Amino acid sequence: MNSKILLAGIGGQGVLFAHQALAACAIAQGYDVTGAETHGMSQRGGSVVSHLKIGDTSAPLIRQGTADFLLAFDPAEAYRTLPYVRRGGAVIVNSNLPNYPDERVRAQLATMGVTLCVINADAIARGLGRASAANVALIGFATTCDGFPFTRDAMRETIARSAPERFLEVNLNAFDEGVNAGS
Amino acid sequence: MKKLLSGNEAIALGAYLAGVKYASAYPGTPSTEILENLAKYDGVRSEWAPNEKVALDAAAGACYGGARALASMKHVGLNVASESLFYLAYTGVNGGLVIISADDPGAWSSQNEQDNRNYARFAKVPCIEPADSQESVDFLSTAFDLSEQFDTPVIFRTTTRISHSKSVVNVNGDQRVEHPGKKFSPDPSKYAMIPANARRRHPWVEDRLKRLGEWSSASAINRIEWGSKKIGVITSSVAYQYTREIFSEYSILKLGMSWPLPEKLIRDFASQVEKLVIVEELDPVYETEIRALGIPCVGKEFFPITNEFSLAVVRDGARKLGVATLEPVTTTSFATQVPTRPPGLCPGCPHRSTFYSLRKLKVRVAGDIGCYSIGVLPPFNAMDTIGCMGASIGIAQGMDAIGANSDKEPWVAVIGDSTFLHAGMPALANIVYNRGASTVLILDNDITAMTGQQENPGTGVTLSGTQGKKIDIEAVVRGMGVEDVFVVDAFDEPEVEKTIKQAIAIKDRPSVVIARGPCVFLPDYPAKFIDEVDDVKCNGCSLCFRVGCPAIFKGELDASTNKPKALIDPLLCVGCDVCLQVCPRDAIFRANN
Repeated sequence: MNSKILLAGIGGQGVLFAHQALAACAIAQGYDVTGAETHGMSQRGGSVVSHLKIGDTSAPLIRQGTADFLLAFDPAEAYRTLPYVRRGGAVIVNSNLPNYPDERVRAQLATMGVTLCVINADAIARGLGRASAANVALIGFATTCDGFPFTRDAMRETIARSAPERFLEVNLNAFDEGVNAGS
Repeated sequence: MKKLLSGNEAIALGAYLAGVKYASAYPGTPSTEILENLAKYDGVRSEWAPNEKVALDAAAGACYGGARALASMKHVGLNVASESLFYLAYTGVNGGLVIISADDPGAWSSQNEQDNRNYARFAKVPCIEPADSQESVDFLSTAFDLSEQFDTPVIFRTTTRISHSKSVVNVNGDQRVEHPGKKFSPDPSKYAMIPANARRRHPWVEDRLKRLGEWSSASAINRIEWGSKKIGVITSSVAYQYTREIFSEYSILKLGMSWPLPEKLIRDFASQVEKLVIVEELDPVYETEIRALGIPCVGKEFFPITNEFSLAVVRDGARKLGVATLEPVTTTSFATQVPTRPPGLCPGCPHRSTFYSLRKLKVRVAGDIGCYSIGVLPPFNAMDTIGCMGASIGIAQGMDAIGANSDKEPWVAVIGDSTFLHAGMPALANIVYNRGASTVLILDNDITAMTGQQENPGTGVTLSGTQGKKIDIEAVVRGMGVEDVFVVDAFDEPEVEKTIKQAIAIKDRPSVVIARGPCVFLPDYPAKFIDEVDDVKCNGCSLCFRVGCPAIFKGELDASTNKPKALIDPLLCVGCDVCLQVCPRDAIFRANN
């Protein structure tokens, strides 16, 4: 399996945790993995982009126009990182905005044959009483998207292994609700 | 067992497995996590030093004493430690000594780009460069063996992309090699570099470099991956990863040792390929040297000397070279405009009141390296110069000495606690000794914050988490002879402003203001209330926007002033109260959390 996944969000949203969970899932299935987190000087609230390459593991960074999946934890950061997605790829976005994405973007993605999946993962997480679990809800949702490299069960098992003990239940619930939203 | 490790985690593992007994560093992106991870292993004494030079001298002492030792720093840290590097090149080692230099192409978090392979050439010591996490583990053992075999310090160079990328490492149990340690045997002709010894030592250094080059030509640390011989590429570090992907059908000589160059190997390789191409990030170190050997090659006319490489950059150069199989790079631009998220001081940052005050008082500010460098950006615009660690205090003294520090336009220096202890103390001694009259603001947030909250002598806690001895900055400043020392609560904006005013009014002797308040990420940060805006009282005067807090944003327009009213994000606000203090209409109040 070769798969390139770009993760984009804001510092504090758990982009790194998501990266680690996806990488752990790939390794558990016997694939090689490489990747890198890129960010500027910002701490809380800065743009965070994380590159994950599964199978093909030469250069750690994904070239623009070649990502199979864009997993965006924030709608604005999705806009910023759209140029990474390849023709025929997929964009999976957490957005709480009405009419998202913009019509023009929607049309552009359609011309490129890009599949677009939008979910309000923030609402799911808030509903469960833990706003920061939106990242896991988005991952759950992603497993229902066509061609996503990990099955729901394999991914759930990885989350169960990697989430901190005291947030385990809420994270698994967030995951399941993400899956349900996609099914 | 397979483990996903960052380059820095891998270096820590490699150092542990190689039997390192002592490691010292000053935090600096992208090198910081090396010592943080090494500190987790038993049998290694890992320490934060006040600066990189001190770290390298301490590692030198440990290696002279017979232990395997390591010093770790970012590229500009090696500038600070460079004097030590040069004497070490002459004395050589006893136990192995490896100096990690984590370079930052692209200057993601640095004041300049620099290629520290140049230091290896300059100091005439070997340089080893891993291209992924597995090599970071494996090459470190080689580096220590080489250090002991050739009696030399070894520079182990990574870049941001190597240090912070994660790749799979095969870890096979605990294979730490315990080195019994060689006793120090007194030998001033080796360890004491008076001129007579240095002169005798220099020819030996030159000879060592020749022998290292011969070793490199025969070593498996460099390897050739044969493909089509129409093009042969010489490359190293992360540039190798890009090359492997872009020049996939051609021949590659991948250097693991980037100095001295393996002349014989390079001649052999060059003689077998039609066109020799050098793909190296930043400076043309290989290219210059290979041309000097009389071997024709191309490099920097296709692959830029500035900024970080990427697949797109290397691909672009390869296309210009005529690698015909590559399609042009096309990027799609989307019909969206997304504003950037510039770095800002965190909500609750203790530095906020100082920069708000400095801007208000319209003073000129010589800045320094740390989170507070953000003071140069809007809305503060309260920093005029930023150079390197500790530079602020020297700049202020120079301005003062030529009369530029006037009543009309006073100059102050702004420096953090860790940076003051790093390189600020000698600069303050300079001001006191020469009877300067500058004001120095020490922003003491009780941590080395910018690199991710590392302990330092001012916090008194060691890298391993034990209680060390706390250095009292106020006592240091007074001990140096500064008579006017003001200590102020950083969260009390009016008091900060008043104190700075008071200090800059002193024009015949130096003064120091210590603004004290913990970094918002520290566990002892005073948890307060959440600040809220009274919608009726707020008239959109916009003063609170000037504190530059990410938790404050613009709401609906005020009917009378037609300016946006303030809103506070309850998820981001930690209740530091600085906005509350600057609001002239008492429109901001503490809400119960």
